[in-house]
Amino acid sequence: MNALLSVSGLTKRFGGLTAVDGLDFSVAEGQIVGLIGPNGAGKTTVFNLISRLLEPNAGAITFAGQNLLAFPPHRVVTLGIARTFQNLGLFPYLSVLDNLLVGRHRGFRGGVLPLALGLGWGEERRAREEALGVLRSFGMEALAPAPASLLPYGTQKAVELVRALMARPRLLLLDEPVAGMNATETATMAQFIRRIRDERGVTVLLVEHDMSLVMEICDHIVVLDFGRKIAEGPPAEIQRNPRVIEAYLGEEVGRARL
Amino acid sequence: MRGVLFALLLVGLLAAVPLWAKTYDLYLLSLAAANVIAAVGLALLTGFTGQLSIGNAGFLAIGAYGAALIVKHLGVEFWVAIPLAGLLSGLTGFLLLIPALRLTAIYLAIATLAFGTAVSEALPRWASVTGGYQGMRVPPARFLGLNVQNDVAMFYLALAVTVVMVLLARNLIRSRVGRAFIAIRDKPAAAQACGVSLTRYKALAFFLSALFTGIAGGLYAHVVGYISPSEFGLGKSINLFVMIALGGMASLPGPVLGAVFLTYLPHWLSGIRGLQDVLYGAALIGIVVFMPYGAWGFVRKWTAPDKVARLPRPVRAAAEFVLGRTR
Amino acid sequence: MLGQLVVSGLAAGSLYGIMALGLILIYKTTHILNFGQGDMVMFATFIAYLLLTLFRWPFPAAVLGAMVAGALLGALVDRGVMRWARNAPVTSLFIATLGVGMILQAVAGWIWGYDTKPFPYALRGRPLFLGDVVLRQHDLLVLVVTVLISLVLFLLFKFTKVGVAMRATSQNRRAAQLMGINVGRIGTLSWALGLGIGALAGCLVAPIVYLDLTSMILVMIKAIAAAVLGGFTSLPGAVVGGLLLGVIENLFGGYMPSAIAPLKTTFVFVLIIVVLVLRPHGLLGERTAGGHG
Ligand SMILES: Nc1ncnc2c1ncn2[C@@H]1O[C@H](COP(=O)(O)OP(=O)(O)OP(=O)(O)O)[C@@H](O)[C@H]1O
Ligand SMILES: [Mg+2]
Repeated sequence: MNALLSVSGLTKRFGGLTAVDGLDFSVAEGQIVGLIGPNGAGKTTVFNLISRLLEPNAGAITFAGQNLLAFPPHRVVTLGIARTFQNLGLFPYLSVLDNLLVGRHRGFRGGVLPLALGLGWGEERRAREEALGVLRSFGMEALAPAPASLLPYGTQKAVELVRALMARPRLLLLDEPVAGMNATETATMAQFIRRIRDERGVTVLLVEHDMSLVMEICDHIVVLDFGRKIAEGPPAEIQRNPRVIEAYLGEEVGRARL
Repeated sequence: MRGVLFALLLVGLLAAVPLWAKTYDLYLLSLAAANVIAAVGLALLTGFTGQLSIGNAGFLAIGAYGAALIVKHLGVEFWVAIPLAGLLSGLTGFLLLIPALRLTAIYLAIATLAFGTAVSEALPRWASVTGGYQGMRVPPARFLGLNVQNDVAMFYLALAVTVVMVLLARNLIRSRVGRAFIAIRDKPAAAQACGVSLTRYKALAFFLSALFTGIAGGLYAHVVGYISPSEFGLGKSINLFVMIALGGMASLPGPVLGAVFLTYLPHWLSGIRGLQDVLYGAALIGIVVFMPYGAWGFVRKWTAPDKVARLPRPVRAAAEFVLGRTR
Repeated sequence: MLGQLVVSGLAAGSLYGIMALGLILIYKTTHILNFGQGDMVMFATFIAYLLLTLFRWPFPAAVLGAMVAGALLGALVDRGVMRWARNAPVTSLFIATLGVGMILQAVAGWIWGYDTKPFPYALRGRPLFLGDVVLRQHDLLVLVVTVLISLVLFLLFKFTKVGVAMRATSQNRRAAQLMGINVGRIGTLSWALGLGIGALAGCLVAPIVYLDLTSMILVMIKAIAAAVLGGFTSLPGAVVGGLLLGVIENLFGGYMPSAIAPLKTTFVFVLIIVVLVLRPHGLLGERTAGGHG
């Protein structure tokens, strides 16, 4: 097993608060890895560090043998890392189709001047076909013209995931993909994530509070508390780990879910 | 497709205007044309990319003086002078990129205001070139070796430039560039995660806005024939902002409508002596109250499918034909 | 020379500061940038002029009258206009304030005409000499008023129920509403307070710039600049920003060769860009949480 992504000594401070504290972990190619922890543990911050939206105070991030910290945020997706956001990252005033097209922004080659002159529509048309094809493969082609903000919350989350796929990533970062969903929707989403891995060979790093989902689909789990890694291992081990149970016991929501 | 049809129809109608219009009408329309280009330029920046600017009159000034000086000293043709003036202005647009990469909202607005103020303060003090406070005469435009001195010819030039600029804007807005602009405006972090470079697209937005506004300035200079610094102050920047806000700033028809409306409003009101400022102010308030998302937002709202569906049958059929929605 | 420039800069700067306070009071609770503030302040100052010349009120009474008129005007603008436009995005709302400003300008023109009026100084006694620094009594008054107003606002926000409610509303409108604060009334109050203070500033500026329909506009632009320099949401920031602005402007005007000296406004604005680039939320502004969650 070789690591696709590896993080070492990663540290991020906000003023006096250390949100991520000397974190080490790695994600093997082809796996679904869970990153869990109580509220405020620093999970989203880790995602923001990997997507280069935040600058770490210390540590290293390596992706496919390259030093990720040498790249600006908009290049991360070109390297093969796409993500979704905890509070929805869809562009509300764009249609679903246009959202998907922003998702494959980096695939466009034509220059600005030809575009302004009305050339380069061939590329645009091919991109549309491709986006519609992807939507169709997930049974969502009817959504294409709908403004993103008018869709139900769960659908928006699914669309955002599809948008991330438009970049043909090797690694997908999912920040709470089933938050706010009911049991049926959650089951569909679980299927969805599995399919992405099985059919497209995409590696997944998943942040999620829904423990049954995490335990069901993850191959490996990393547990954070106060920015530190407190445990790591296969789901069955994590479920029995006393430190993990303790961390979650401190937080009622976590206890109810675990 | 229907949109294209209507646009062609509109341009055709405008092209026929000189058949009956008086020279003053043509002058006003040419003025409106310059304002349309400037408003579209501001809409690209503020409406689509979300970068608040209340300093765009600075670009207008650079374009106007640029064009006037280029024609005066180089004697080049209109169709060379206008793009050159636009380019000159476009390049100064990059100056604002430094603050734009760090600032948002009101802070950015003040930085743009500072730019506009700097330009309008510097112009009169550089009197040897700009003619100081008195301003300068703009030599007549040269086109195909002739001096353009009648209003009909100027009107056709203005119309042609406007059609070209609006088409360029339309093409860009519908491409990946327009999508990237909107993405940056609404969710900058998500935009970056999708691979959109903030630096690059903000730079592009400022360049395009300055380019369009500069071209508008060049056109304006030729239309009015005489320019002075006081026309390009904060008042003009705000005027441009009002155009796009009244028309609906995140669309293309919006700034066009807003620019035409605001060009004509003072003219309509000038008949009512003593009351024009009151009516002007009241019009601004009324539009904000009754059309909070601008005229185009208003049109869109009242032509939404569910609204149209409630119309009586024959009217509905007509409306659906016009709107291009046959179900 | 230096001392003199600094002292008169401070006096001019406090005027920008008080003007800015009025703007920020409105902005903090309603998120509306009142672009008509200059015209509204002009109108209220004309009320003081009316009271002084026609009714021969003593200066302090006339200023008080103008402040009350300003407050009423503010409340009226909020209830009569802004309340109706609340569906509009904030970027359009400022256009409504601009509209109000135009109407007020027109009305002021009808009533008071278009020529420039002299406006009396509150104190016109002998200037004070501190070493080689000359301080006009009016400047001293302005400085004292600035300190007093800052103190009053500080006490208001710290200790009174209304002040706390205003702070709550500015921090989180929805939460304030849920806590039972009538945010509509707080908005009206902020408008009243903002223009009451604006009127006071107007009466102190008018003797210097004289009074006509447009004399407040440049002062107002400087006040906006001062507010942004200080952080736009911070009341002490507004005063600090104003003072800095006044001093820097004066020093530039005083020390630069006469060819460049008239460009002092440009210089000040360029300086503001530099400050903002280094500190994107101004000198004392609150940093909004830049989370990417
Ligand atoms: N931009 C920021 N500025 C300041 N503090 C921040 C910022 N982003 C996150 N924090 C703080 O860092 C800590 C970790 O936050 P983070 O969002 O990473 O937690 P999380 O594990 O994703 O929690 P949740 O499960 O609630 O989403 C929290 O205390 C949070 O308040
Ligand atoms: Mg989180």
